[in-house]
Amino acid sequence: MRLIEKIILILLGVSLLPLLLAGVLLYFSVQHTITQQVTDHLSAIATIEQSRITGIETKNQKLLMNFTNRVSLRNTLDHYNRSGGASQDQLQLIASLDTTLKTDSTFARITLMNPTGQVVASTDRSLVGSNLATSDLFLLGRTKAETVLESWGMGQNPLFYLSSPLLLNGNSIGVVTMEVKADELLALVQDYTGLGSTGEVVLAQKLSDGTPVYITPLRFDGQAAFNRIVAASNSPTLKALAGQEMTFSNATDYRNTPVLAVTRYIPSTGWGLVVKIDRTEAFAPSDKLRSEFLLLAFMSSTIVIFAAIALAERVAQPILDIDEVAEEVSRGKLSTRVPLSTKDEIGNLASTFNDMLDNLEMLDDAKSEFVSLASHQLRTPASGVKALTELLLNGYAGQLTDKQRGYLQQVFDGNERQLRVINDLLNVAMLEAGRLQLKKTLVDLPSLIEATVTEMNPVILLRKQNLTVSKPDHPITIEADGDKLRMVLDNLVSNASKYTQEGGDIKLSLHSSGTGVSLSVADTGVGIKKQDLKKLFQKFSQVNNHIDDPQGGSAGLGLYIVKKIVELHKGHIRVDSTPGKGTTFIVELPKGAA
Amino acid sequence: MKLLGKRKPEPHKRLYYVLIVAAWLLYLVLSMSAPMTTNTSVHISRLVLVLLGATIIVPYLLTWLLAVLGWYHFNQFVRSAQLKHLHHVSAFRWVSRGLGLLIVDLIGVPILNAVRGLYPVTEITIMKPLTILSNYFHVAVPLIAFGFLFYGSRKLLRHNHYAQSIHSKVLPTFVSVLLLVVLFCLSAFTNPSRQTSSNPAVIATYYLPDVLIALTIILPLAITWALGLMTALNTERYVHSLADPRWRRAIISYFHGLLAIVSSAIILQGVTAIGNQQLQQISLVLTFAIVYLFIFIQAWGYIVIRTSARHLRQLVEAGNP
Repeated sequence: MRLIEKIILILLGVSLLPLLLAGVLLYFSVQHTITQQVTDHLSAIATIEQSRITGIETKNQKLLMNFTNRVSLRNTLDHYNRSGGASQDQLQLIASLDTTLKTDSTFARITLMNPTGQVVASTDRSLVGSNLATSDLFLLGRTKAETVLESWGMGQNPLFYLSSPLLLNGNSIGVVTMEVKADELLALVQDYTGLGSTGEVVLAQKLSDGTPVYITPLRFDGQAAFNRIVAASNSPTLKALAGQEMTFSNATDYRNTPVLAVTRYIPSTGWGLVVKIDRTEAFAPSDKLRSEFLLLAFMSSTIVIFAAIALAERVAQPILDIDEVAEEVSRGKLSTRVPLSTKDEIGNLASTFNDMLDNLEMLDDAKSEFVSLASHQLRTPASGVKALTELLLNGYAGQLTDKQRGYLQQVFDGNERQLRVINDLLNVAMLEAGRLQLKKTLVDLPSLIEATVTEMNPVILLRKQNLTVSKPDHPITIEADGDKLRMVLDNLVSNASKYTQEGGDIKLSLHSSGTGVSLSVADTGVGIKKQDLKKLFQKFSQVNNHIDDPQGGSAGLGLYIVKKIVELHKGHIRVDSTPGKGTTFIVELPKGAA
Repeated sequence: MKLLGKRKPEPHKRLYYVLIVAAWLLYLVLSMSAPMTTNTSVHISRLVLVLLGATIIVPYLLTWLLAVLGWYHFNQFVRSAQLKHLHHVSAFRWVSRGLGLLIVDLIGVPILNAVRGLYPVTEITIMKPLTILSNYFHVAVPLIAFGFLFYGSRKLLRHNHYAQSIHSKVLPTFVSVLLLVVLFCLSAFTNPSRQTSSNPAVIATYYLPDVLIALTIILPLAITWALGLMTALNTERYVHSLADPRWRRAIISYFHGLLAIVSSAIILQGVTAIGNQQLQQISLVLTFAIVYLFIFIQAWGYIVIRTSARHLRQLVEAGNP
């Protein structure tokens, strides 16, 4: 992984992970706190509402009791019953009921019935004389005091129906029914104080057939009273009706909307009470926090990612410069220096690296000077030995015996190898000192190849190898140093022959394109291992190829010189090799670059 | 006759000025023609709200000018490079196209939204297609723009013999895009008004089913962000491959500008795609902070691009690269 990628990942991890973790923890903590606070708040409201509803019920009971305890009313009714329906008594009873109706605006209608269910007196004149013996209220009120909440039509506000027996000296003298407006109850359930814009108090009861219904209008359904059945999915209301007082942090209401809810049961009426609020409203603060957090996290992530790239570029650039220079140095370019772009630790490193290169270059110069001097001093006597040995071998100093010739030939070959090494060392010294100058002429490459083949052919034939040449028939000229290019070709063909077994093939090819030429020397020899390819063109590199060098004496400088000569011609050389199958060197040269 | 100290704008540049002024006028006319809505969530007077709006609108509209000038100068550099047969020119031409498309997005989306603002929110038959069109415009144009930028950055690398494998950038790109996508998905899919709005004063964000939101909004956004990141990484790599210190300095400047533009484009995409209802939930201070930050990054990016393009052009004309 590159440095920049590491920096990006580390910066992302260091800057965003704590932020994300803190954000998630904070969000869930806020959610928990909100759940706790809202359900506590709903519980408090539910308890208050429960108490108020019980209070309304008690008040109704008191109203009924006060009415039934009236002595004059009971005596008049008793007298009416016993007199067989005296109109005087009836008028007195009606007047009494009218007066009661006027004194309390919550009364809607008051009706008195005799023990047979016949209406004796009522604030509703149309009922007087009718018989209500089969009505629920008469039947309920005949034995004990009862309170029933009922609505008689869609959109009609419900009324409390209070009924009670009227007793005189322990005997039943009739039944009274009072219809009381449920305004107080409705005001109570429709007071949304502390319940936001979605919260409400819901009241429900089971009808005589067991069907659960809402008994007051709902906040989002004004027609629900005694008209809307509680759905099976509305678990808080059903639980409340079942007498279970619970807290729900995630339930659905009659709209199938997720809510927070608290349930209560009112035993005196058998009603279920639910106080609830929509989760979206309850959790609006945490949703706001989440939105803000996500937005900030998105923006921070984007900025951190791109800032990391910018930062990595700043941090990595000087290091990459040092790396690049080190690579150049490893390729032998000791004159390269790291640009000093920063004054920090990396800048100091670059400066120290440059000082080290100055010293290294000085040492290399001294070495090159020494090699050049030493080679020159060695070449003069070695050349003298070569000339004299040649004279002896050619018989200028008299006839030699076979044994003498054999020994002398060995001296000659050894001297040849020594001279070759000395020449290579001198060439390297000149290359490194920048003193190797190209003598540019127009060079015909096919002719150059012919000359190389002619010279190398005896050795190749001796090794029983097959040398083939593929080149155009017409002349191909480039501007170059012919002698140096000859050195390149000789070296490559010589190497190909050296590392190819007997009977192997060597192929020399020349191709011309628009702006350049390509020379390749391919063999079917032992090939070069991948790890050796990297150091192939370095000075003094020796590749273990398991073939005995019959000429011996290789200093590992040939390919280094070849590469340098090619580069001096502004070309480049590359190599493809497969161990056991062979090697191909390809030299590409521009036509007019030299 | 040339006036002392004043330069006559070049003909093309004058055309850009005219176009920008026309875009400003169009946007302002459309915005002012929109029916006024009241936001009950912010308890500030109408005058203060208008003044606050002006502190955003004015710098935002100036950003358009800076963006167009930045792009103009970059284009001039590309033309100079073309005349000098600079071998990088085709890569920079793609970059220029990408920057141009980002400016189309920068100006086009607010104008589209201003057109939508002409109609009452309750007009679902008009709101729905306009919202979908605006969303897809905001997804497609940056996708193509980032594609061009990425292609240009690849070509730059190739010219410098860095036929780098895409795999070397996979991990940081994948991690970064995954992070952004997760954050975006959390925001998008917790948005209650993504398909329909329960608040009559707020339009739905997408008017699309969740599957289509994932496939046609989030997936292209993820690809866009990955392309943006890889463009940045490619350009960083290209900077390292440059040997000439003057060329490198100018390209580093361009690189920083590009980072700012790409990151602000991603922020803009992310923020606007999150939706109005989500944005209305956040506090006014944070909203303003985000908007100012976005405007600053965007404007700085285009200013830096403009400066670097001028340096690059000078170098090209001096025959230095």
